[in-house]
Amino acid sequence: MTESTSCTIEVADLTFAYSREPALRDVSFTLAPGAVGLLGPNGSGKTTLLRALLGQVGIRPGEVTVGGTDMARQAPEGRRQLGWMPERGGIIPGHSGVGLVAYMGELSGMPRQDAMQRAHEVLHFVGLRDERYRPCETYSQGMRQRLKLACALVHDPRWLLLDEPTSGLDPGGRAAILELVQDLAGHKGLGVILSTHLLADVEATCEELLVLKQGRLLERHAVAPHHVAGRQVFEIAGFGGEEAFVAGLRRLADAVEQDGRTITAVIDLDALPAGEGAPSARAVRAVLELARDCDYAPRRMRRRPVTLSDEFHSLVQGEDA
Amino acid sequence: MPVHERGYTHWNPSGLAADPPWLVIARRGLVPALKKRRNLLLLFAALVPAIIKGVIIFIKARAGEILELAVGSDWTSLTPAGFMAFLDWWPSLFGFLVTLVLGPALIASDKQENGLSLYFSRPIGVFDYLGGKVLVVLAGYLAVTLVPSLLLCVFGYLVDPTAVGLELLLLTPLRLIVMCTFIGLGLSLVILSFSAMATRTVLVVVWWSILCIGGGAVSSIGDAVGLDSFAYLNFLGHWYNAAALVMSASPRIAVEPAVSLLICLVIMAAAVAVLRRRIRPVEVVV
Repeated sequence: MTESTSCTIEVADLTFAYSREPALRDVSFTLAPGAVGLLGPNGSGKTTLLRALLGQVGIRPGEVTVGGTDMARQAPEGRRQLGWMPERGGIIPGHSGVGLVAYMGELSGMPRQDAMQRAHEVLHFVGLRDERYRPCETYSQGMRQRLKLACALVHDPRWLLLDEPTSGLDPGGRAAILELVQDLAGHKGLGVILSTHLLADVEATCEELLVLKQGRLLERHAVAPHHVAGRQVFEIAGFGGEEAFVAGLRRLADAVEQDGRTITAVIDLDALPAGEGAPSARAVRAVLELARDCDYAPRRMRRRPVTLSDEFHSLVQGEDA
Repeated sequence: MPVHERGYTHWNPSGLAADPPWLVIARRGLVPALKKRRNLLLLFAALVPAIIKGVIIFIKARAGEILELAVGSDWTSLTPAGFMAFLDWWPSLFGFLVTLVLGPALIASDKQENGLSLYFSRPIGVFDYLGGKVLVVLAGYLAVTLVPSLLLCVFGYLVDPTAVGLELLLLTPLRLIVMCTFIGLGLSLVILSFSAMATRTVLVVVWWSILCIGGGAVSSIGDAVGLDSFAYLNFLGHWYNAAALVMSASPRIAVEPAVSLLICLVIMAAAVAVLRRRIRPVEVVV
């Protein structure tokens, strides 16, 4: 466990292009073991970034190190510390489940006996104990995803790189995979990078979030504090001095949007002036006082915590703007 | 069973030595192939010509020169040229068949299933991957050509009182090893380059059959109508023709063996270039 916690991933000024348009531009970050979500729209460079971590794309200009191993120069050595679960394919036909996992173990440098024993263990862990002798091409989509996770785990890596692990799964299968990921990151000391476009998956499993768009790292922040830090969304509909009210809200809130008669404002409760009562009550009071001052009559007001989805969309849309 | 009850444990290495990746890949290619009855039948069938030649050698050792008149001196000879004639006969067909059975799917199926990404997420390099795949086809080829020939050498030494030990137990086997490895390696590289270019195995089977059988057929037609230049299209013929240099045998087709050797080397270089281009563990900035 001590060794696991010392294995960091460092990316510095990474730029990569398959053709003229760069797929990654000046990406830099450092990750300590834990569950990290990699979010971004389709084509944002998520898979390319994971492949760069594996040393499968040219890492020049830039630098990628995994546990201190330079992936540009010693990619095979660095890959011993990484378990890769690709989104597409990743199943080599002609093997039984246990045969494929053991094969991947041997290719990762495990002795034959160790690889076979370990294959049985990880297949048990991912819930494929009873199906391990079946030809892997007969597996259902959910079983395939579990098998790919077992392949990624067989050599006991420090980091798991999961590319859309819940892709094509029904809700039950998705929950099962996320449960495994949570367990690995939360209790077994493995680092997990979860690349997905499903915000709920990140919210359910990750502590930290990297947002990519058009190959650039837009944002990096913790996932959990968004729920507890107390940023709230106010959705207000009413009539009267709308213009003055919106102008006043802009001073009070981090972001204000108006769609027809509905005004949406994101208010950071921690940034409110000190006063009596709970922060959320003070925020409601502040909004109502502002409405009174502006002769704006709210007919409906709803508030809710800021979700990851709000953050993600505001980030991506903000970039577009 | 819930996840927390299943438990994930870290790997405790046993301390045993791990096999090199190219050997792991080769073994995974060969073992399933050897479990197929069809392939085992092919391997046993490949021994039949050797058994026939063995019987002839045995009878000749007792019946003398009379048998040569019946079946030809090449067939009864234990010289390198005699082995060349033997290998250029049925074993060459088995060599073609075994490459056809083992080679086409080796890389094509990996590519079809995005398997290359899986391989190169492991601590292996491109030479480990290609080395393992080449070894699968090469081992199959040697099993149907070299192994029967070496058995014949030993058998000939045992039954023929005129046989010279140094020749039959050392020099001829060395020539056979060089010849079969050269041809097997060349054929392996070419069929694997086809496999790397296709994502459907059936395409590789068609291309390989056209190259081997079609080339030979065109050459034979040219031979029949007096057009010797058609011999240049005899793909398999070039390999055996080049090997004639090693075996001190007469040319197998109407092309200088040295020219055939040059053609074979160019083909091998082209196959390696295709494999290097198609099998890339690292994408480079364009």
